[in-house]
Amino acid sequence: MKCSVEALQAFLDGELPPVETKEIRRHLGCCPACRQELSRLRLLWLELEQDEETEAPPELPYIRQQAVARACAAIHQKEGAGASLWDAQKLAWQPALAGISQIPGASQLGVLARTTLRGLPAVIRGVSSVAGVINGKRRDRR
Amino acid sequence: MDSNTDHNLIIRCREGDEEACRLLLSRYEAYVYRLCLKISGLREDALDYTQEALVKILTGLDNFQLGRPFKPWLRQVTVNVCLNCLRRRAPQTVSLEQPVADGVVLGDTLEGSAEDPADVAEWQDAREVIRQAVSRLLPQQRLVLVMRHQEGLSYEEIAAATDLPLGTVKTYLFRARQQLRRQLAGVYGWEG
Repeated sequence: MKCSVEALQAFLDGELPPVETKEIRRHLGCCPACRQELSRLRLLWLELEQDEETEAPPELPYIRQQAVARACAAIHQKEGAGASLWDAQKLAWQPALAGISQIPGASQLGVLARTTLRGLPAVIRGVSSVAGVINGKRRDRR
Repeated sequence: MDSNTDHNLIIRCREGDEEACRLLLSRYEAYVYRLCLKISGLREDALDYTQEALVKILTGLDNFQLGRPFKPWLRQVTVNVCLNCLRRRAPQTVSLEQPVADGVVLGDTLEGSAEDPADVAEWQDAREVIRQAVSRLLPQQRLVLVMRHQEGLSYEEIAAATDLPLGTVKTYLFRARQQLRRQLAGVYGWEG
């Protein structure tokens, strides 16, 4: 195996497959330069993994309040958008429904139909009697 | 049963309960801020990113699957916000970390760079040197470094969290550490 800083980094990260891990361990056993590099990298890892306790900034409560206000406005707007769509649809239908109820005769259609049907036989009777009179007169002329 | 568990607070937050939102954020805002600070490297930017991340966390709670761990989801949202902010921000300066050839960055080509121990006026603590060097890394290199060394994510997890190809994650990590290793060499007087 050749010396490889990249492989040493992956080894320290625990990201090498088992076969390569074995190889690099064997290589480290016989390569002082790589052992030295590994110890230097370990020092860097230690520095990088130090969890520096950063103090929370005093602005955080204000930032939290701003975030809550923005988020809740967005949530309510989303909920409101659903409701207003429904309301808008209801409002859109209302004139149509009101219009239908105002169409002249809309409510009288039934009455008209009943009246017409009731009056129809009399009309038919009237028409047929007139027709009978006309036909009688024609027969008399002949 | 405690009505203020994360689980219950999340349900109330989804309904727009402001008190629940405040309580939930107060538990995680310091973590979100520290993550933003490590990724951005600048306090003012970190404050902006934090507010943006907190809003996204609250408005995105509908996408969180109840019963799963909350912190990884929250970290993912925060990382996404930081990435978006970093992408929007065009680089104002040319980074010495800009690669100019395979394994060579722009800083390597300059003579008398600050890495030269002779140019360092006084000895500095290794931690401070590393901290400054990290802040000079490319933002995406800093991001993967934080994900690996502070959050303890594997290469694949970093790739998934940052939406970067696995090979790019490895390259960024390698280059960033090489740069930092050179800084440490300056502090400790290592050869090579």
